Amino acid sequence: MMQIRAEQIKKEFYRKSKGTNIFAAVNTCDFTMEEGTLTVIKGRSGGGKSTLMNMLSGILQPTEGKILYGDVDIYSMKDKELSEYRNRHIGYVPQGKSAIVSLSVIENIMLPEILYGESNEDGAVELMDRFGITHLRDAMPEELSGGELRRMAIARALIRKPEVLFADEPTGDLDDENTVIVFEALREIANNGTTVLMVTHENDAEKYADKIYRMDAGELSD
Amino acid sequence: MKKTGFVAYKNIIKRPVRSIALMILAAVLALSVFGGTVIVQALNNGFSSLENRLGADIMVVPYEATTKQELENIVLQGNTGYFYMNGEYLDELSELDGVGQISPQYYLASVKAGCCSIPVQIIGYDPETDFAITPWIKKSSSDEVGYLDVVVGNDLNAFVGDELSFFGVKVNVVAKLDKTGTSYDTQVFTTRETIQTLIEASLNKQLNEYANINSGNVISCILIDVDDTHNVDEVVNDINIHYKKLRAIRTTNMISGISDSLAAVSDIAQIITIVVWVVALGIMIVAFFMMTGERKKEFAVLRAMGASRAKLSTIVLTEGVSLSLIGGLVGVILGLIIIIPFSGYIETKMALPFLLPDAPMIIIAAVGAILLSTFAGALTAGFAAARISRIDTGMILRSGE
Repeated sequence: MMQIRAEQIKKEFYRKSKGTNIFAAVNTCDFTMEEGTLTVIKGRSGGGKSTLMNMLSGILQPTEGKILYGDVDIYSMKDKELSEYRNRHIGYVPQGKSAIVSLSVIENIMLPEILYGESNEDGAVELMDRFGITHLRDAMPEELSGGELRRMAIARALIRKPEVLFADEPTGDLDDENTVIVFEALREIANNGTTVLMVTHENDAEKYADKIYRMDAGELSD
Repeated sequence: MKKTGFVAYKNIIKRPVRSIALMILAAVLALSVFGGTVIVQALNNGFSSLENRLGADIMVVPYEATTKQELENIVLQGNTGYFYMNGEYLDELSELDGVGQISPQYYLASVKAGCCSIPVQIIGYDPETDFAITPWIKKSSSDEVGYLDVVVGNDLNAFVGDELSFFGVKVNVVAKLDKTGTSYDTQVFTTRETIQTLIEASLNKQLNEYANINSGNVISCILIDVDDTHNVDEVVNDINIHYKKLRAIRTTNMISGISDSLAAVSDIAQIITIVVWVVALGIMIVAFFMMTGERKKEFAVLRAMGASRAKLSTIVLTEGVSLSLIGGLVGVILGLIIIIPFSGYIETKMALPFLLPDAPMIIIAAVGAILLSTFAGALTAGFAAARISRIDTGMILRSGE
């Protein structure tokens, strides 16, 4: 059982253009995710949700505090080690369009493996089947709709069978039908044992969540 | 198995305009280095060849030959012409202090030769005393050049075994010289006895400006090598003071004009190469920086998937090195296509001795040019890679750019 724990984390940014030079995007907080749960963080744009998620996912070092995966303090690792850790254990669905435009759908899905000289085409095909994009296997990203691109991004995040999946506004620019498809997919992923954290401003997300947090002006609350 | 380089490869293929533009820049870099190196080397070779071909410290000619500039036209420019002086000067000059080796040369211009579409310059030498032409002929043929035998320059349309006719006298081609890159490539060489026969034939056909000369006792030029105990200038001055109808010329002075032109061409080639490199490198740096700006989100996504900073740098460097390597190859191939087939045209246009380097030297220049353009690509991509390795993944993904 791997618990993900944030201890007294805080993120501040240096901001030249504003009156005060230091801006706290996330105020000091603790946060825990249990294995196989789907956690949702809601809140207004600019409230610090994505910053918190990026700190938790190992791509944004907190100004203060620790992020622990089990007993491992991920920010104590060097860049190469942490990058490989992210590749093997963490899936990430970025907000907006995140396809690599020079790669086909199947190449995009296999990319996390390709980066480390591995190749699991069967796994990629299986994921395409699961998300209903098998027919788009060799299509290029510009040929895909927003919903298809998002499903491709989720498939890509799952190719390494990660223990944790982070999804940043995964339904941001989708219609209702595709929004439901994505929420149901994330729920199913959590049911299969992957720990899922979704950042969203969609109210409908609540009914798929095991735990819901709210984040406004850098303050995290239950 | 696909690896990090696969991402770079696909990016090259799927962004053809950018890729081709960067390849063209690399090709221009390689072409400028390769072309500049080969041309300057060819000019240097031509100049060295010319120095060797002159083969003497001093040339002594009739005074009027220098006033009409005929000598330089014949020796340096490959024009046709002839002038004569009394052969007895040879014996007199051989007695002077400081004269080591001494040998006569005989000039004759054909009006129309079977071998050539233009009149050809015929140069006669004395096989017994010659030290300038014979060593050079022996490089191309070990056969003796007998009576009514000729040796032809490399550019002439005549080959060993051909029979040519000069002033009604038939002569046999017994050797074809290696390329020299000088006016000698368009000239015909033969022994003293043969050229005396040809001069006599030209007089009989009234095709020689010198109507009243004894073909058996005229020479055109005396070549002198000064012995080790004397200074060349001393011997030159000695001749010029005591023989008013003659003119002694130090050969190094004769080719100083060519040397100056060569230095000027080398300087221009260097300046052009530097300007091309500065401009092309600047464009490449801007192109790579623009590329990193455009692909910020892509690199942030790769980071989120687990690409280390080193892997991102590898992708950018692979793109830069691959494109500049291919561009470098293209540039060198273009250089070969332009320079080698058109070397004769370049030689004519520059009016300078031009002798292409041999194959190993060309290969070294080609490999050097490719390596330099590849290094330039790696360097400019390296700047971009350094920028990318510093991207703030969290900030880029957070803003959804």
